[in-house]
Amino acid sequence: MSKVLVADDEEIIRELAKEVLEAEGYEVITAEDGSAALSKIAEGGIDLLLTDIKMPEIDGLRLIREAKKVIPDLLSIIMTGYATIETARKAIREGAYDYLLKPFNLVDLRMAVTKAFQRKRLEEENARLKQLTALFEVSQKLSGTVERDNLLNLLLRSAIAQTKALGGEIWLIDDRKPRRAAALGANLNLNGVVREAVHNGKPISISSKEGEVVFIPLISGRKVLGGIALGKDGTGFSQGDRELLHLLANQAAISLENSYLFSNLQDAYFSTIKSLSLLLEANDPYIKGHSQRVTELCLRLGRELELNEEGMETLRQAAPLHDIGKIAVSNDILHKREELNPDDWEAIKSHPIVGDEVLAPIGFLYRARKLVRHHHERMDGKGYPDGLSEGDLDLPTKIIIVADAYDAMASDRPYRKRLPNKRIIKEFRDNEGTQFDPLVVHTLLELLN
Amino acid sequence: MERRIKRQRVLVIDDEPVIRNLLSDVLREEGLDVVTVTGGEEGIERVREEEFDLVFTDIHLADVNGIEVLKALRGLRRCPPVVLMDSYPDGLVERGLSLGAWGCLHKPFELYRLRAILEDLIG
Repeated sequence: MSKVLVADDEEIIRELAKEVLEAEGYEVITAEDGSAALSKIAEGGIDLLLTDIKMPEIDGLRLIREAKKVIPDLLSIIMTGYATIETARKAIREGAYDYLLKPFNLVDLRMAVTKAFQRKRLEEENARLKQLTALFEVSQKLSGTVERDNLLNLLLRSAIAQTKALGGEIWLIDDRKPRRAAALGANLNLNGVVREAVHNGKPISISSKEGEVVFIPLISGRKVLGGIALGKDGTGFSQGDRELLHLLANQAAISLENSYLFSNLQDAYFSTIKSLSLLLEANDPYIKGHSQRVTELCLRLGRELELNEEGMETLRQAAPLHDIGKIAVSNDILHKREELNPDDWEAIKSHPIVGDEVLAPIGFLYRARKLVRHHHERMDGKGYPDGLSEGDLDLPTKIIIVADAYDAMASDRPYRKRLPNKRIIKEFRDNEGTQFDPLVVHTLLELLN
Repeated sequence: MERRIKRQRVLVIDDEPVIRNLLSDVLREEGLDVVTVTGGEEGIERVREEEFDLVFTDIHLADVNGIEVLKALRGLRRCPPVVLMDSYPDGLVERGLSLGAWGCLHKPFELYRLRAILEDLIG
């Protein structure tokens, strides 16, 4: 129910206004001067202030100003005589909604108050509409975001911005245990709250004089995926805020579920590839161990060369899989004891391309794929399959080119035993700048010594 | 993409600064473009030269009788709705209504009455 405060030093006005407005269904309290009015305002809950312009101590204009500091969206109507209409105008500029001319009749009083409340409702609806529009746009973005961290950050940022919260956190269930997955803004101290909320799957609100913390579970189907917590100071979250948060939470739960499904799919693909890799190695004892050794060497070289984390991750993914394409090369060729003839070479040269294609369905391996495709390129453009040259090759690729070549030289082949170290060093020195990147070679030779 | 809505233009003819200022403030807050003049002659000129969606005019103007203003405005090719205002009840605004004025406001008037007129005329 809407609450009105009538401030006027004349008892008759106070009583009359109270009677009329109570008949309209409003809850009415009165004050006989500015200070009394401000105390009542401080107690909270007032929706509309009806005040005389002239009162002892604090005049109506100042009262409106002070009251708005406590209740920013307080409606106010000022009572004035014609002589003071200029002051009424000032009040309007300060945010008063209307003025009543004394002596006012009851119709005017009723109309002014009713219209003021109507306007407020309209403005709130408009604000909600704007929020919903913004929410819709966020939803669009959320449904397009599969990468989990981006999704969580987007969700938090939107929730905080829309509700003007001070801070937020997202918790996700991992192995039945809740863990904090993202946080933004002010620190909320949640502890046991989260466990309880996640266990029940029901929203929780904790109010204190500092403000309010709400925790809204993210539920997909019947499963609780985690939850979002937000904290706000002052009067906490409004009904509109809560509704908004529920809508966001629903959308986010769906997106989160999707991202898990997507991960599972990617994981499934990756597992399949790993199986293929193991199959390849089981099939070819000479390959077995090679991928592992190449991987180790790549990572050592990467660390020595201070390769960034992204590059290291790409090597971690690509190196174990770089020969996966050989699965398409016939065993006869792979295990031939004699020297390989040109046709055999052609078949073997296809393996980087096959490797690239085999890895194509796995989205997150898009960088690793490139390494697999290019691990037989050369600095001078005479490599295969694409004839790339120095400028086209990034550091991880240059590293794997060297590491793969090293291991090939340093291990036994079907048609020859391993090369002695001196010979290996010579091979690298002879071909640095043409086949191999000089810096990587230098680093390798350092490591060998 | 935003739909650009042309702001509607209101002319206020009144020799009282308080009224001009008050209407100016309130109408602007409602999203309207407001032009104010102090005399009837000037008002008629402005309506002749520029486009207005609504005119508020006091009927007790210093230079020319508000009824004359109304008649002149109604005689123009494109005449916007005219709302008459009076400072004391002498029946003039009622006469104006019968001559085609859209409505009237008795000064001093509560804002809700003004806003009700805007709702009806402009929406």
